Amino acid sequence: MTSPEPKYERKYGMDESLKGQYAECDGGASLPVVLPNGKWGLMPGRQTFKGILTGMYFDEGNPPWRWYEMLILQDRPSDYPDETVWCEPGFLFLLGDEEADAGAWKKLMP
Amino acid sequence: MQKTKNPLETPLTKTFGLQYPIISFGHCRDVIVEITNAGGMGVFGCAGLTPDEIDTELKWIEDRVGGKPFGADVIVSGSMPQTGTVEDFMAQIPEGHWAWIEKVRKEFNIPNTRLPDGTVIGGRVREERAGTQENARKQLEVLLEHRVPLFACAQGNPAFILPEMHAHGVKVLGLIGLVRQAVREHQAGVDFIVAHGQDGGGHCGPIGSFTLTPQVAKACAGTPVLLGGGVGCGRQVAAALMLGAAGVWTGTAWLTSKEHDIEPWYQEKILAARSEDTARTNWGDGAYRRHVGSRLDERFLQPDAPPILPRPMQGMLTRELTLQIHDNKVENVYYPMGSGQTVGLLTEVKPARQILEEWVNECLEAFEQYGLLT
Repeated sequence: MTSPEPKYERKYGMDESLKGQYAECDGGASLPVVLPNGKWGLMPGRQTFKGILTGMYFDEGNPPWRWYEMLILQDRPSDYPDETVWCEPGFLFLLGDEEADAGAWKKLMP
Repeated sequence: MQKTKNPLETPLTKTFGLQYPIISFGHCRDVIVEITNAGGMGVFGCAGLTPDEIDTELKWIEDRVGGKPFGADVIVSGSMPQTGTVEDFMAQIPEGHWAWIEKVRKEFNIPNTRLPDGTVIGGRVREERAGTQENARKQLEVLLEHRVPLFACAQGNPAFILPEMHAHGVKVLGLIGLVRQAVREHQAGVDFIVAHGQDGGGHCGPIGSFTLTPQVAKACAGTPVLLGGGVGCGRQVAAALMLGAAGVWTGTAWLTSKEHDIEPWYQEKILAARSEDTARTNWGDGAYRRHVGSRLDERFLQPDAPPILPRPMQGMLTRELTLQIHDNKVENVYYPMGSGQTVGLLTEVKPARQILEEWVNECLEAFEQYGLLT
């Protein structure tokens, strides 16, 4: 299987204000990833994801549809193979530090 | 207490020039046309169609509604992958999942045959399709070309496409299942929000519409909110308005209309079903949806059932089995059409226009009963 390439132009960027923010999203989508079996795969999910935002985003197409990268540290579907997920900002919700798991996630951010 | 001249006049009816604040959602174009011409508003479900098919269907509807406003519904969910082919996704379905499906097929004596892909059914070519964001964009482009009066965003937040829709004169409606999702769409500037309760048919959220609607109406003041889920009579339309809604979003009742192209044996099942006979499951395509419950729903809850796969793989996994059931008319195993708990109110087949008029009359009677009409 070859890596499926998006047909719309994709522009990446960094939003420093979101970097390190604890968040939750209703549904998310992964970019093409290498699965544990070594094959390319796409692993979207309807489920809720919780983690921290890396600040990385991309805009795809025109009008631009934006997606933010989340490093998943808390909640993910049981069979989700990746450490990150791309979240649509429409249903991406920032959470307070008190809702994180004892703040342990902060140590993982540079 | 303030009395009202016409309780059916709401921001929804004023915006589109409707007689009644009742939206009929469905996949049968005949019903969409009938309701639109009868004073309500039909919204045609396009999510499973190709852009060319959507173009054809929208033209068909436009030719029959004489300029009256109608809507089209597309899924732009963030849980869909950005891109990918059917082959890409099929390759990610584990062998163990296929083996379990085969085991179930034998348990229920479902014939291992069906009409092949490529067969023309109802004027459309049957084929496997992968729901991706890329496809959703192409579908939206057709809606923009047609300048459909209303774009209903079935899942996901349509914020990214709002400016372009509005620039084309298209109003945008978002369906949500949680208050926080409603607030986000309200902040984005959608024109209408449907508080879609878990009692509704098809894909639906986890909260009942009676609980969800007033919360959304309060949290999203300034954006008209419609109650969706569980509506099957005129008193419920009145109740929705009293809850702060500007109208109702309905679907299941129209499956029992005379004009609907639903399979007769399934229509009979809906008419015979009680509210407690429906089930909300996610084994069909990975997202929770309600339909008339069946032995197959129970089977997917057994301990040996494999984990639900992400979209769109789960739908691809179950497609073969559900098509075999459909094509061989295997009864008492699975009823695929999304149906809400309102099935308990539906007992006979009626013309769509009659259903609409009965609801309107009953709604007005309810207002009159409590002295709220002037």
